[in-house]
Amino acid sequence: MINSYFILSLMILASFRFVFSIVDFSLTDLASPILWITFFFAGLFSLSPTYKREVEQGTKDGLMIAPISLSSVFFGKLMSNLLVIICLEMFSLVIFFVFFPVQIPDITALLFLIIIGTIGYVTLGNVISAISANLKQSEIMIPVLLVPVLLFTIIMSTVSATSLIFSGANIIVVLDEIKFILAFDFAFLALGYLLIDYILEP
Amino acid sequence: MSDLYYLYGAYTIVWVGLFFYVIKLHFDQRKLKKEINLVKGIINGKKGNKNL
Amino acid sequence: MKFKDNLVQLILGLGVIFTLISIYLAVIFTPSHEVMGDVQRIFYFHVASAWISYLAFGITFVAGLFYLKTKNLKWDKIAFSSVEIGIVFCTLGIITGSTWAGAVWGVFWIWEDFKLFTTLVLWLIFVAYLALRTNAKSKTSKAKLSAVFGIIGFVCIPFSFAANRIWQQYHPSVIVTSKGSLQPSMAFALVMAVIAFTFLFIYFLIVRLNIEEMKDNIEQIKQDIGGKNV
Repeated sequence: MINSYFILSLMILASFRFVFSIVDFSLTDLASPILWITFFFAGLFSLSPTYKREVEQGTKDGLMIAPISLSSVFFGKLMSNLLVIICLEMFSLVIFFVFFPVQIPDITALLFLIIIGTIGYVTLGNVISAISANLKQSEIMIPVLLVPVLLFTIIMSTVSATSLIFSGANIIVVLDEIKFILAFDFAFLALGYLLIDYILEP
Repeated sequence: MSDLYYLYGAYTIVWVGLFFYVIKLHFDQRKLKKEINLVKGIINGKKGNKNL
Repeated sequence: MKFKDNLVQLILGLGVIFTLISIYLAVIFTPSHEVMGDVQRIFYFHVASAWISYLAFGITFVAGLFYLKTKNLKWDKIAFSSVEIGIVFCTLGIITGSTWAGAVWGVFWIWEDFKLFTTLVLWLIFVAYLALRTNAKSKTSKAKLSAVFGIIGFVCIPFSFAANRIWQQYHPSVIVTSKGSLQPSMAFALVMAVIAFTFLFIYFLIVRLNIEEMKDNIEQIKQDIGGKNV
């Protein structure tokens, strides 16, 4: 199943490459949005089965009566999702540099931004995934619920900071944005921790 | 002068929009009141039949 | 019951009176703006609509918190009614803001204007909230998940405002968003517009809640007749 996620991110990047080969574009301007949109939409499909599988296979009740708090379940699923999505993003990043040969002087800054952005995205994505597992049309509801709360907070900040990195800035320049992204991460973690009990209880 | 068209357009949209919302609420209320009366009428009819 | 009916009529009356006063103030009483001219008069009802939509979502947030605490469905009804009214005012706020932007800056939308931007984010969250409610599986699940999403959405509004401000720091635009000074008469007209819309909002909320209660009554009566669980 994880192989399919890798192939999906390959397809998304190939689509962007094809679409942008038809028009003239500045690679440094568009690199950051292309990268983050790929991460966002490829990651969406990984978030979807996190809680839905529990509901479908009937293991949700087992989780509820297990002698662990629901917050621990949340953090456990968060860790596993984070691992899968970061691997996916590293793979996507390699394919991205193959399709879009862009120069970056500061690769550590890029990787750091990707990781902190992903933490916030996966945290909130997990909460929304838990909500939509209890809805009809849950696959469609995940992007519907996630876009308004995620796109204009974390994704906007990370795209902005990453575009500065692609234009040649180093990590010191984007320090303010990094602080805000970390603040978002902590806030979303706290929000997830506080709300998961209400979402998962029957 | 064309600026004033923006002003007229904006004011029209605001007040017409609010007016339509008021009308919608009014019609919703009326429809529900009719349905309540209908359903209560059915109950009373059933009670009447039981008494017979 | 009679007192409640009278109160509702009173609120409607006050709303209509303040609306008429605020229209008079906005159109006739206040002077033309020194830079923008008469088109600036859109501002009074644009700001009032946007303010009411934020108030509506604030009420949804608080009602959601109370629902999660008490599990009383009346809070869910308040939250949902508030969202429905809020989305009306939010749509009006965005359309008037866009019209004003078109008149002043020549373009109907700029991402740099954080007020337009945050109102759009709020509108999208309202729409997502309604989509969530449409796809819920049961009444209690609908209430619980809507409350949770309302809380998440409410927390994300100031975040998106902050994200936009940071983005603007790094990408300054040539479009100047400051709109000149606000004279006392204009501020007064603005306050009147906000008060008028607040009364209208309260009236709409009460009527909408009434509609929800009637729907519940009908469902209850149908259950009594049919004896089925809906």
